[in-house]
Amino acid sequence: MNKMMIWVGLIIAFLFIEGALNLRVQEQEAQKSKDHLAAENQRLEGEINHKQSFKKNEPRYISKAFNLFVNQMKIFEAFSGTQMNFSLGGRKEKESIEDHFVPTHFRGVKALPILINVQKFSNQTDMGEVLNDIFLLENRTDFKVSEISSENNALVVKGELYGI
Amino acid sequence: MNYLLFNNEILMSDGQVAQRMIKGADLKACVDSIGQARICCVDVDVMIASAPEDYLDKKDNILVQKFIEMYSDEYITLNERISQNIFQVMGIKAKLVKEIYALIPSSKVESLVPYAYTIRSFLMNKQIDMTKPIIFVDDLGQEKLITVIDGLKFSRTRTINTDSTENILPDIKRSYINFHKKLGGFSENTNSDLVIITNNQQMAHSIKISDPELLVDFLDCQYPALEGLKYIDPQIKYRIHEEIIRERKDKEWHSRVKSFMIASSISLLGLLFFGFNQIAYSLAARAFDTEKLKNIQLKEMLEKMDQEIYRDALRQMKGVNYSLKFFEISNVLPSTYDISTFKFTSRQEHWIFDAYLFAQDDQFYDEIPRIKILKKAEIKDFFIKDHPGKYLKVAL
Repeated sequence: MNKMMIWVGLIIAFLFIEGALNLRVQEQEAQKSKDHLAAENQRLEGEINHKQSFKKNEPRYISKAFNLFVNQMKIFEAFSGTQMNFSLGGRKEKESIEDHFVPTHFRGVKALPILINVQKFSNQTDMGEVLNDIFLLENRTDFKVSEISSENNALVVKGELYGI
Repeated sequence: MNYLLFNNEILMSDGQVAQRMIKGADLKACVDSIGQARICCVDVDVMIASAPEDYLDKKDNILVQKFIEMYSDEYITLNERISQNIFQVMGIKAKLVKEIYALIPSSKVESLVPYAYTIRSFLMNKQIDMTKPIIFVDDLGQEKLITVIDGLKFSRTRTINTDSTENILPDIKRSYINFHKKLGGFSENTNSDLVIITNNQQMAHSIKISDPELLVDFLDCQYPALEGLKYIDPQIKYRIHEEIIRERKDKEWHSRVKSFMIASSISLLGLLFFGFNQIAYSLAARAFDTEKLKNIQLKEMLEKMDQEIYRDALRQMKGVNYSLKFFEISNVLPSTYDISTFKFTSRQEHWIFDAYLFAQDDQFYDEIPRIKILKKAEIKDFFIKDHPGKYLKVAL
């Protein structure tokens, strides 16, 4: 009976110690996660401070940004007469632009990758006009060029249209 | 300390003065006032028996068994070692022990021993030569107590009710003969001289006159048993079965309480360790939750901020006028070259312009001047479609 009581005491103590050791592991993990979060929070605070310097604008829905982009392209086509085709890189005949949204490094802002293809330049002057149009397109819309390449009298512009 | 002798009447001494009490109603009130007591009891049966002394439990069982075989009544026994595997078993009737303890609670009784045992202690204390058989005659007035002692062994004490001190010699000799008969094979000093010791000088004188060859000694002590109680081993005590059971139960209870305390302490230590870790974990979890909440708030703030500033950020990232840069580069290049392919590539903070140029068939392969925008340009020689050409890379 007495031995049994001591054994029961030992077993209970063992269970408590086992539980305590598990808690210790959890505590260490929580501590580690907390340190990690604290470091990230510090980084986020730094990022917020850095972003304070930017001018604040009303965010634009991507559908509206897309409308502006398409209309701007049509204006350029009408003025310069150069055929500017653009695609989303998809292979289907009909597709929603939403299928092509990609995340950006701006939180809560998505991007639509767009490929603009301009062909058949008669001379370098045409090329300069097209490049100017691309520059204007960037400044008038939320389109951001990442690469412009030319080969065999064709110009390919890669970029992303930003919006929320 | 009080010293009591239990016989037909009770003698009680506080160590100085002895008084005689008759068993009855007043006795209880008298003994209630006493503190600790040592008691000797005259009515004790004795036997010598053998048993293996190496096995304590077995030894006790054998001795009790042998005693029960000889004395059929219910006894409580004690035993003491006489020599190797030889023991003296001293039994008091259970009824008498209960009677004593009814009178004086067991908690007040330091020791309860046979009368002969106290006489033996008394004689040893008086440095009497114990190598010879001794017959001790204790004169208590109306009663004469005769006890034969042979070394450590002693006989059952006989009580003779007589006032006369002259005709006691036959009873003494009978006691001695009975003692040796009872000892049987355990007797040692059969041929030794017998010594009679008494505490009555007149009796000693009468015996000497009756048998001049006998060695007779006188010890001046009115109550030798009460005196002998002062020198006994205080641990010897007859105890009734109920008391032993009660004590055993108490012991078991204490043992259980002790075990419970040990078990509880062990569990408590475990609990404390658990509690300590629980607190440490709670603090760490709370700190983690605080950081997590802060993280969520910062992310929400940053998301709102990103949505507000992304357009301005884009505007700042859009850096170069492609057309202007293209013409700047074209104007510096010698007219003997044609641009085969070119590429504007955005790198984190700036733009890179790279192009492959080839020399026209009827023109010289000129050096490209490192001026203006091409001051830091990377220029390499190449073969483009079987024509010599240049690779040009400019950071804008």
